[in-house]
Amino acid sequence: MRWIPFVILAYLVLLAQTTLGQLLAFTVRSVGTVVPDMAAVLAVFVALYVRTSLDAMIAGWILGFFVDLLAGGPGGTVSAVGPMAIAYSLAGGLVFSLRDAFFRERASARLILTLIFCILAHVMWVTMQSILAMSIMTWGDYSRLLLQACLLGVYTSVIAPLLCVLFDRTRGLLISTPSGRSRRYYR
Amino acid sequence: MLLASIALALFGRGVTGRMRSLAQMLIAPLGDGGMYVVSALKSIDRGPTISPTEALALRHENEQLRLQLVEMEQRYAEQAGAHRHQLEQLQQIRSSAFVPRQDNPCELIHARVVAGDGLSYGNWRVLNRGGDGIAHSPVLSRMLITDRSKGIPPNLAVITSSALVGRIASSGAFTSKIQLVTDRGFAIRGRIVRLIDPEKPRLIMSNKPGEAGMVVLTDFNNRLEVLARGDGVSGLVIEDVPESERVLAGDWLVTSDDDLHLRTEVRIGVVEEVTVNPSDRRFTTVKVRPFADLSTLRDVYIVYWKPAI
Repeated sequence: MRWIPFVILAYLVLLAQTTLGQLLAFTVRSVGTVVPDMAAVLAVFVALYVRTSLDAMIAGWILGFFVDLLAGGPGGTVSAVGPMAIAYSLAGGLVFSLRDAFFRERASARLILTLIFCILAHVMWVTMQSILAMSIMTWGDYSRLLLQACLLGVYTSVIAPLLCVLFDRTRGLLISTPSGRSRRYYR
Repeated sequence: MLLASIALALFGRGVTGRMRSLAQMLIAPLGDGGMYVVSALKSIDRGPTISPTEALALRHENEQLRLQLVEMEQRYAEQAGAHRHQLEQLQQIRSSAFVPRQDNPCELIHARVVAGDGLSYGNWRVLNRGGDGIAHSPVLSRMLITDRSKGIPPNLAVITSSALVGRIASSGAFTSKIQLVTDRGFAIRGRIVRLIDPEKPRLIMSNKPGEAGMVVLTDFNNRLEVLARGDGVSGLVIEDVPESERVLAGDWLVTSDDDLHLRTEVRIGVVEEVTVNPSDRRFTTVKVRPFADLSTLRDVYIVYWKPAI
């Protein structure tokens, strides 16, 4: 894994998420605004092609940490930094372990793995933030946030195959030695 | 790394403020361009679509209106000379008879939205210093922000040219994070200004001694203090408003002039829906839509109220 190009790409993805991502936002009246989590798509993409699970988890941690720094709290307070780094890291490790069950070049595989990643990571994040802000959160708020997390996961997974096409072009820069079946891609 | 994350989550609220500020500073330079694109495209997106026939009709109407405008301008120019003379006379009388009105002792710090929220669970925006385009306005944006590069105090009100949009949640060097009025954690004491229509007088319940009972709503009894909270989606909610106050869709929510950070009346939103509480029909829940379009928010002002000398 080449970390400097990865950090630059992560910066660009997070920049797009916090600015241009607003263009893709839609609002469900009883739930809230839903914006695709492009950083999650990058984390899944990296987990699909890196050599070791440690690389996948470190990449997830870096992305999650930056998402944490740029995210506001769900309960109206400034959120704690750290929960998304943990969640992305663990979800990245899970995607790495699941990837051999899929043809990772296929759009459907990327869609399903992104859905699993997003729902796992965001449910973990919402739960951890709700516990940390227990004094102001209610069960109603928590259930609404869970629903929002699921919608976000579905929405992100729908656009994931399109974003992965863009990330495919940077794969040579990101991954120094491709693993498994994807070695053929470089021959 | 995981242990560090857990430690940060549990104990690192103070430490992470600087990290957040640094991350926002990294996003700010390029984010400005991104938010420009977002606000421009969203504004187009919200425009109504019209057919070619309607466009022709509108063009015809526009030409007619332009002709009327030219006529009116000619008439106005004739009258303006006479009025100017009268006005000068009146101003002389006024300046000799009354002391000038005191302005609000506040500074408006120009700022620009450079990024949205990293995730969509809250309603937050990141502000950078304002552009140089208003260098000749009474507010010296660059100067003020530079002076406050150590950070702007929290809870200051953030307004557009027409309405309140949020408050400062946190700030670091050169960037601040605002909590929008629609965020779930936003709460403000405000006032509902009910529209008075002489053709349809509104009867409200008065508790004042001597005039208890139903009275007609006038400018003098139109002061309804409320606590408004962001609904976490796209508006504000005011709960437990007495039904006898007859709040209706179209009424305005404005800031209360006893607010510590905004001691004047600024519009917040317009009442969109009033629903009677099913559990207690004497009270209603009022939903308010913000005046400002928060999705295309771009240039804002931070209101810094000067302390009394």
